[in-house]
Amino acid sequence: MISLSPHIAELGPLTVIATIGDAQARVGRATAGMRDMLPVAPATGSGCGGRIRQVLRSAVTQLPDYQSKTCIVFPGPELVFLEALADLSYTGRVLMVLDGVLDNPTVERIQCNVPKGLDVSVHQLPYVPDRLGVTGTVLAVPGFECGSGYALVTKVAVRTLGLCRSFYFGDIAFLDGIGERVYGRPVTENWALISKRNAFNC
Amino acid sequence: MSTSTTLGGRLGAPSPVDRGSCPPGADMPFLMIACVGLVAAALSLTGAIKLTAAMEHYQWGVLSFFIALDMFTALVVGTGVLDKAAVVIANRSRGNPGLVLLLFSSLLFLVSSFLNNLTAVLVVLPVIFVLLGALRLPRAYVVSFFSLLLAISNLAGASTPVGDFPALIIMKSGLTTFQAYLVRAFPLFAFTGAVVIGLHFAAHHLRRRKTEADNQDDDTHVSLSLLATKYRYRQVDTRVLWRIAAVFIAMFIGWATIPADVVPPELTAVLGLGLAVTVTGRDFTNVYRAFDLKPVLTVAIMLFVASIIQESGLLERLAGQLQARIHSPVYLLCAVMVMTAICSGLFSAGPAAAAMMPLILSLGAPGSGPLADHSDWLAVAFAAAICAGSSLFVWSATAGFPMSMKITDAQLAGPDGQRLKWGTREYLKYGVTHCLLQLTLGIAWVLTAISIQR
Repeated sequence: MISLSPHIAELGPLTVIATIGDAQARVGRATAGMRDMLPVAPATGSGCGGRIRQVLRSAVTQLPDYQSKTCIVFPGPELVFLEALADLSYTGRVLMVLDGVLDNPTVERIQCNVPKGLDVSVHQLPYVPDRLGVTGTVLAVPGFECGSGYALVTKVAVRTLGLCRSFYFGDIAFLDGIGERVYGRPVTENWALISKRNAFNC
Repeated sequence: MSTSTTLGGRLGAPSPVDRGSCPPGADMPFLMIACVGLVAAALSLTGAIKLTAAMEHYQWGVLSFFIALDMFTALVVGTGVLDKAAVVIANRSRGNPGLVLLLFSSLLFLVSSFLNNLTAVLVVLPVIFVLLGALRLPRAYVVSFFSLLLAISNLAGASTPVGDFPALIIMKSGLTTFQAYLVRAFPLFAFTGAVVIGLHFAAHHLRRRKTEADNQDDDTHVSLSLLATKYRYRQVDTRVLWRIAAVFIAMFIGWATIPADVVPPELTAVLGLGLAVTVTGRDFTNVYRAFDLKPVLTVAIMLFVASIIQESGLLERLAGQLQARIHSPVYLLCAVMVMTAICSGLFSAGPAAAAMMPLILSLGAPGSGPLADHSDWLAVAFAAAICAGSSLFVWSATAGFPMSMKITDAQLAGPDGQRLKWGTREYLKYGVTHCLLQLTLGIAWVLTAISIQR
């Protein structure tokens, strides 16, 4: 079995799941032992990648006036999210907030692996972007709907939200809709529960 | 596409990407500067050496040559061509361990021949880690593979006059010319490289017969897909690459055709770097960012130690002793090669090359040196011995310890799930084999060439 942690750190969990789903679809069978490898495993192999892309695309279009937003702050290196933005010809800026433990070559690889046409800048925690315009910016956080007003999000997202909270009072979008239809069993390792009180669903 | 790293974050720090943690051993050059400085001052105060005279021997040319080529390497790496080549090879190999071994070692030989071999190794390693992580090959294969990469990076560095620091010292010494070294050294090191790769390949096939590996097709397929995703939008900047290639070819022609006393090679390197940055129109801050000061400081100290040794006259006396005891030039050459290899193995290639150079120069001195008629081959023999020694231990090679640290960080696991290690102990068996093989081939090659020349 392969270790997926370094891939998740560099590509983001959704991208890794989508890639594995695509690979499984090409091979024509679910890869043996894959459920044990992933913190949150795909319930079905084939079609999983396409489903994630479709959900993200749909979520992005539900961001209120997303084309008028000049800036989207996204915690974590999620390539499928950038691809969804590129597909929709998003013209604003994307501020990608990465985990602070990533080394420089990894950060440079992430910076270089960006779809054409997007304006992406990279920040590493705890250096979160400041001077975020309240009306023109949205913080987009991917995660799982857990019920009772709570969501399961990555630790990077939690730290980003925590650090931004003191000076940012704009939109926080929760990219939901990926939940039970795609994922088998949520595992809390490297994930955290947050209240969705101040966020809206997409 | 537009990607950038925003300057100034919430905490008012410089670029977040610049803020890397201090790597282990980063303070080593400063420690060396302090130690060497104290020893040199003590020697000067006791009257054993004259520091001012030692500084006159200091090889500023080698240092500026090294810095220029290091920055040039950073420019090439910045185009993304090495990443792309490594990913293409990973995909072409389709996870076949034998092909992985053959293709990656060949790529490394090609790249390290012309660029800084440490940078080449560090660029290729992440792709190799993804592949090996999926293949979950036996420990013996992984240890053999990384040992091969280290040996190949050493051999490639010695194969051209601009491949590595010892080769730069040889070229600057005046013992040989750029062209003469290239024509004689490249076939030897390419042949030795092919033999080393062949042996590792054969050993892999023998091992595979004994223990047939499990079918890892699914994992390999997934890992190759993840690798492709990581580099999906990574573009090779071909416009910049072609311009850099054109400048490098011009530099190569300059080194090969213009005599060193008319235009010194380091000047060609510095001018070439300036030209490359200008014609590519790249932001020079990227070159500064990619530039690592640690090897430059280390090389600067090595050169200072070499000039002190030269000023002390220690090695000249040793050369005199050797000449007095060994009358046959052939045996003398063999003895010097073995001595150089041992020095290089114990103290690493850079210091050994800098320290032993005066001895080699006295052996090849026009008129008085016993090997004056074969000074070109003496230079190649010296390079072969340095290269053989630098393959002996992990610490002997420039890329040894950085590679070992990266492999430990990669947390590769074998088929049984056990963590794989590659360090001094694991490398020793291969190191001794590589060193003996390279030294034997080097001595045989040079002696045959000299006897043919006679």
